[in-house]
Amino acid sequence: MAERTSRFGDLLLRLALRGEHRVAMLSAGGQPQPGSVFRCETIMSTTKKSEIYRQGERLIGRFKDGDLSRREFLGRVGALAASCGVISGGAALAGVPGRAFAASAEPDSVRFDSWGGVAQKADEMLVMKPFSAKSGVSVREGSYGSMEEFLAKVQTSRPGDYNYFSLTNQMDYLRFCQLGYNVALDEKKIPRLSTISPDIVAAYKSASGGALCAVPTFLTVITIAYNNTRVTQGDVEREGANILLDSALKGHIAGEDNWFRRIWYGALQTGQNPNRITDIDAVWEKIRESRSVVFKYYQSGAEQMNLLGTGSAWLADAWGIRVYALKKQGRPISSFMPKGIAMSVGGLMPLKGSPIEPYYQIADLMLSPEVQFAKAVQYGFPPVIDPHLLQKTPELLQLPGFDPGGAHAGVIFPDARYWSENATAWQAQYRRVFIEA
Amino acid sequence: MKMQQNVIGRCSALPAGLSLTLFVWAPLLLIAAYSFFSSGVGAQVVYSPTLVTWKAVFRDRVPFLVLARTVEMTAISVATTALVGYIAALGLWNTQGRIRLLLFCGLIAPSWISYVVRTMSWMQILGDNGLVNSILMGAKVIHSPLHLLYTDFAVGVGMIHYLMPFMIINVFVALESVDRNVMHAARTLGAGHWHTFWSVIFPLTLPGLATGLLICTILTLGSYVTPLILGGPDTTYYSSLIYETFITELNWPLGAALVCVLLAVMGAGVLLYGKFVGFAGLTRRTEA
Repeated sequence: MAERTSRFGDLLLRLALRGEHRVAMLSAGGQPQPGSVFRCETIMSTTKKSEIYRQGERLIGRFKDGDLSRREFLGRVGALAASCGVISGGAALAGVPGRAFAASAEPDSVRFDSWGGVAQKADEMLVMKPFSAKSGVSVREGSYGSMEEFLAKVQTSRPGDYNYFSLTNQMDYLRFCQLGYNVALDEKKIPRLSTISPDIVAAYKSASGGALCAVPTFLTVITIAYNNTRVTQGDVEREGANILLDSALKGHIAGEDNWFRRIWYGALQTGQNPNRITDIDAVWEKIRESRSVVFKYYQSGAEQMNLLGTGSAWLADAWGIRVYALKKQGRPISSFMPKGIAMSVGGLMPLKGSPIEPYYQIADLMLSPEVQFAKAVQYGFPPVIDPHLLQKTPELLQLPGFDPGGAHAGVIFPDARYWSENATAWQAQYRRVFIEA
Repeated sequence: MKMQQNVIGRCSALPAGLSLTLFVWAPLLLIAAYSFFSSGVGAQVVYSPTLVTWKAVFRDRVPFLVLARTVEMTAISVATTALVGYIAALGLWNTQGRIRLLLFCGLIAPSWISYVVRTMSWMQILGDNGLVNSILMGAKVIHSPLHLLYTDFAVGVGMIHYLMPFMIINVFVALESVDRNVMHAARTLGAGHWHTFWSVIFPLTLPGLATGLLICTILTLGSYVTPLILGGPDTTYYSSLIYETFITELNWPLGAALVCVLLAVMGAGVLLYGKFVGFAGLTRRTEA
């Protein structure tokens, strides 16, 4: 009987420990880490844990010695558990969904999601591993095929399942803000934020009403990539964006299957400002026209590299990072940026309810000149920080989208609000244009 | 005793019924329920029942255009698979011993490789610098590469490659159930090889062929990866449309409605199968 009661007492003590954890988190107003209920011992202060264990041990010892009756023992264990907030722990164990709990200020791990492949590899090697080594906080990584796919995962997950993720552009930033997943950052906690070009930070702040809810960490630019053994630089420079419609290259042109990309290029091809399109029908016509000359619309960076690298595609609108990788491989691929090309601001965003202190450390590390330079020359990401802080090596100067002066002349930052307002209608119409053409 | 047997019988069906309910019907009903909601601002689902989504589906001809194209591709792929697969199954049936075992291994082994990898292998075969064009250009049959990849043809080839094992196995099982004495009897009565096959063997294997056709049709109608990898600008199929609607446009109610339309089409196919072939063959019991 004593043995059975002892095990029962141990169970109550365990509940008490969990309840204590929940009370602590509730008062801090954050959210739990996945599985944290069962790891509460690592979070609760050592003093508190020792105190509870000591009291519990004393109770069990007194009961075994016969100093307490069974009723008295259970009553005192219950009182101990109640004083530690076992009721909230019980509710937590019942798995009440949808409640926002406090994020532990000292998590033992955080989750980071990104695009996978080269992009994520860069962040893993240059940022996450050094951060984990320094802070002791491990980084669990996940990947997604598209921002919409990631958003779908976040919407169907519990708070805390996802923490930080890579933003592709300012439209995605706006979308997550509009859906309420954002949290205003304390800019003072990211010292290197001041090294970012003001127009880049403005691209985010203007979308979120002045508050900064994500840190810009890289730029992406979609250039026109061409096989320089098949297409001359003169032709590309002369025709600009319209070379993507050149019937002489029919069957050798590839493009990205992305509504934003195709509409942006359609706007350039019709001489319109992509951030203020006045004749969308003309843009749809250009997209229909492009379908007659394009042989493949790719959906991933790997596919894009395969098309250009194997020589199947002589010309394509291509991601700068992939073009850079092909050049490093020695492929005969050159790139050209026509006037008005879109320059997207990628960043690192924390989801509401995530531990914020590790985020500040990771974001600040991402903005260090060493990391920005390494990501630029090793992986092809144009840096966001003041280019005067970087060593102007020949590799860096050849990077598609890198402007040594920092003025970003000739490129346009997409207006997040404008594109977001038209996204639903244009996405549906884009698919329809493809199918009906 | 009879009541006891009835109770035992019903209880033994309980696990299967529960599994079907939890893993098949419940998700389908959930999807169908979503089709009666609508999509609001920021692609958020508005959880109040409405027919707006269904009205949008029936007012728009694009999903039905795509469905028609998908059904056409399915018909061509499945018919070709049936023709080639039947011949292959017949050949397999006429072998014995070690040769049959080796051929079976050759049929099954590629299934151990990821479906995506197997589909991508066709890019090396059908590409401009692929195997087919290299051979034809080497033999001076053509002077410039044929544009085979990223076309409906490539998608069809990929689908047939994927469906072939399903068809061959179903037809082979039907052939195995044919009593070879029946063949001998036909020959004894003066029937030639072709007559024996067409009048005796083929009718007896029709249920197996029909089952293979049904399975391959269902697989093709819902195929997403093959059109994505091997298809081009003109190869938008219904499953891609569903994917785009759910994942790119985040319009879950519309995507759910499109799924219901596809299920209705598949259901009609199954009903046709039941009417002309019957489901008895699927639930055939062997006598003890």
